[in-house]
Amino acid sequence: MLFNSISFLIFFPIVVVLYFLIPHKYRWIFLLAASYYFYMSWKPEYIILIIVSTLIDYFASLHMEKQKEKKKKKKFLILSLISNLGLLFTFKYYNFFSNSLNVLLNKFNIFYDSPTFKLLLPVGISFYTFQTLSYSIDVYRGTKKAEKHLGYFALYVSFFPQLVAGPIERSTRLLPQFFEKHKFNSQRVSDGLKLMAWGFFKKVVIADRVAALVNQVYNNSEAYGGIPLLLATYFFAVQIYCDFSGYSDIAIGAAQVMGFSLMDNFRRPYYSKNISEFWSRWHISLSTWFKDYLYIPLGGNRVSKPRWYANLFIVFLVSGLWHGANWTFVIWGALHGFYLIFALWTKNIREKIYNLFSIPKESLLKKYINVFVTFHLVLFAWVFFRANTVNDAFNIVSKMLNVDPITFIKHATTLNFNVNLGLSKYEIFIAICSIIIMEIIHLYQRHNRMREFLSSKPRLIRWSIYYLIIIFILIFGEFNLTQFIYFQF
Amino acid sequence: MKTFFKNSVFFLLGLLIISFIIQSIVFALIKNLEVGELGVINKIMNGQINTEILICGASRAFVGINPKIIEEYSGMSCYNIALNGSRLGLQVPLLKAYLKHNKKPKILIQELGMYSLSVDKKVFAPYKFLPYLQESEIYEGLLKIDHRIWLNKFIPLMNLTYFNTNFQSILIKDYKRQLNKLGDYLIDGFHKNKNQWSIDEKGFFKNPHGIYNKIEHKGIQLLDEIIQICKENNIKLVLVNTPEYYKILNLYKHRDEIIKVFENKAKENDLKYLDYTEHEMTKNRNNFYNFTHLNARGANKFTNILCKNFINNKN
Repeated sequence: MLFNSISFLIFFPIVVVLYFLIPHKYRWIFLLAASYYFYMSWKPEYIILIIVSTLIDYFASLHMEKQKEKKKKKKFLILSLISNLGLLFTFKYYNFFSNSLNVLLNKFNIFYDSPTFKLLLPVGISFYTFQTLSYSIDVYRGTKKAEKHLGYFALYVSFFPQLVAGPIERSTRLLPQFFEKHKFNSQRVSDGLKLMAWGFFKKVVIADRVAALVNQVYNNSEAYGGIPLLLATYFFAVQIYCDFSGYSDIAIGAAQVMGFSLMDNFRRPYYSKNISEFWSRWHISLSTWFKDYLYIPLGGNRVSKPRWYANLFIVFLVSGLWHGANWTFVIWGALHGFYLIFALWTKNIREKIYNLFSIPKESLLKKYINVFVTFHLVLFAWVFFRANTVNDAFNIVSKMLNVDPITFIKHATTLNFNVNLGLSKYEIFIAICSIIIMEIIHLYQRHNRMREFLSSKPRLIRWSIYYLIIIFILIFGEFNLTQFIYFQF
Repeated sequence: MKTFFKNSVFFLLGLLIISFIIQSIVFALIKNLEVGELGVINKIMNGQINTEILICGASRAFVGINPKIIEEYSGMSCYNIALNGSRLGLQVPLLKAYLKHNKKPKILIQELGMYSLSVDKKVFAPYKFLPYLQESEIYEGLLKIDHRIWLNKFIPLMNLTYFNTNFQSILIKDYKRQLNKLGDYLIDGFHKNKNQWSIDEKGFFKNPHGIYNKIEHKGIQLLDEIIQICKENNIKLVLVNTPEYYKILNLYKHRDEIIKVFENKAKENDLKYLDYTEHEMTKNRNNFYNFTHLNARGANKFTNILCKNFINNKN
């Protein structure tokens, strides 16, 4: 069930009303049933994977806690790791590795066809396996007590607002919330609904509109010149942000309506001044996951410099692979790893350059330059993320690098590209207006809270703004039920 | 909680009123159009067509049969009400609405093709029909395709999503034309598509699985319904399969079975079934802009051939 579907618009209010009507001690049963129904409306049989993962982690953690010897604890941790990563490998990576092996062997004139399976990737598998993995590791480390109540644990794994695309919640944060009795709070419900509306705006008005242009150009990249490809890449940066942060807002808002608090996943990442900051503001729940469960166990930065750089690089390679079983994602991850290492390596040199031109440390100019450069480094890496193949990505990059910026700006300001971009001039205009509206709100939110701004206004003005937003979403939104990009990860 | 629910009800009521106002404005704008596809639907509903020959069908008729040529050849008035993106599920209700508001034609040219016997999976471009959901023929026809259409009839909020930017672009373009008195870009409902062939053939044939078009019982029922309507109204029905670029024919998996159905229906009901899918003009790519659609040049050529095959020359 997609958030941007009529089914969800019927499902969600029913769940909320029943949730508050049901006595607290039975709510977990209802929420669990609703979450399983939510997942099963996509492909019913794949619920078995969630149940298997839940049961293994539940029992493994209980046994882990009972063991006094670390060695024995480790056995259960390994069981949890193998089962979760095994699921992930089978459904997501097996065919990729098998095909890559075939290609590699063929290069050495060894013709071996390792078998591939026709398996549909279970929606959200990367999210819920990572969520349960973090739980098992926390129990192993002793930072979390094993959950005794199977029902609450199953709900932690499958809680529907964040089941298919995060935020990847830690058990220490989310699990205790299921035990709390959430009373109906009109302010919280209203805030949650506003956040959901904001998420819908980003998803259906912006992401799904620009997606038409991005798909048209990137899926036929050989037919397009540098200018349309550059435009499509800028639009993809907007698309992926609005798609994923829109999903996160709907998820966080939906949970908030029912009284749950999910972690923030995005904090205006394109305003980051360096790549390290970008990763502390983009897909925060995944970045912190990798930091806690991969980077630090590898030694983090408390090792020799080469090892530190290697650790960073490994984390980003794995992060790339987490996003998809394709070399394009691996290269995307590697690029980010390289950016980070390069930034660390050249930190002193860059400072010297700024000093040479007498640019103060905290100057606005330096900040703008950094934001501009960081955004364009991220943009460059998005080419590999979005391109269908590595070859396509390199062709796109080579065409884009030949674009004269002045010519591009001329085309962009007149919206005249002289080719079929999959969107009419009018639709591009609407997309750009919507992006401007979003950025104005982003800028406003840097120093103010939208919630307080709205609350301070009389009801007539407040409601008029809400009506305007809803009508804007309905009239300028794309309702072709486009799946969220991160569902495929 | 009570106050919250009270406020929510008032908020929703306000939203419904606003959406009703927006819907009324948009419907008025649509109904006032005299050009383009929306203009054709308006003319049908206002009883402004009333021709002796009527052309029905989907996009292949919309771009493939020029009524002006038929008029010139036969001396009979002719109009094309073919619906882009439709199958018989949409075409039948439109024909019924046509007959309700207009004089019955003497001849009905019904375009048929490989998609005709599989029913519409959704209402294509629903905004065309939304202002006319009060027409029972349209409403019941649409309801058979999408049972949720009743929501659109009674909850204006539902319709706002159909007034999307694609629709807005069409509305703006058509109004610009109408207000500047540039005339209709459709010729009596026919779309003269001047595009040249633009399909990458190699890419198209990379698809090794072919094109599956199911023969659905409902599709056959709809064809029977057209035949019945024509019998009841004493309309001469001619079934026409318009040309397609010859290379696509082998891709159709059930082509022979589908054509057999058309031929049998024609035989059983003593109708003419004219199949041009293997005509020599299908060998020339210059007559098409894609595999299944004729361009302006091809349409003119084809309409002339069609005329000679079943219409008496006025001379």
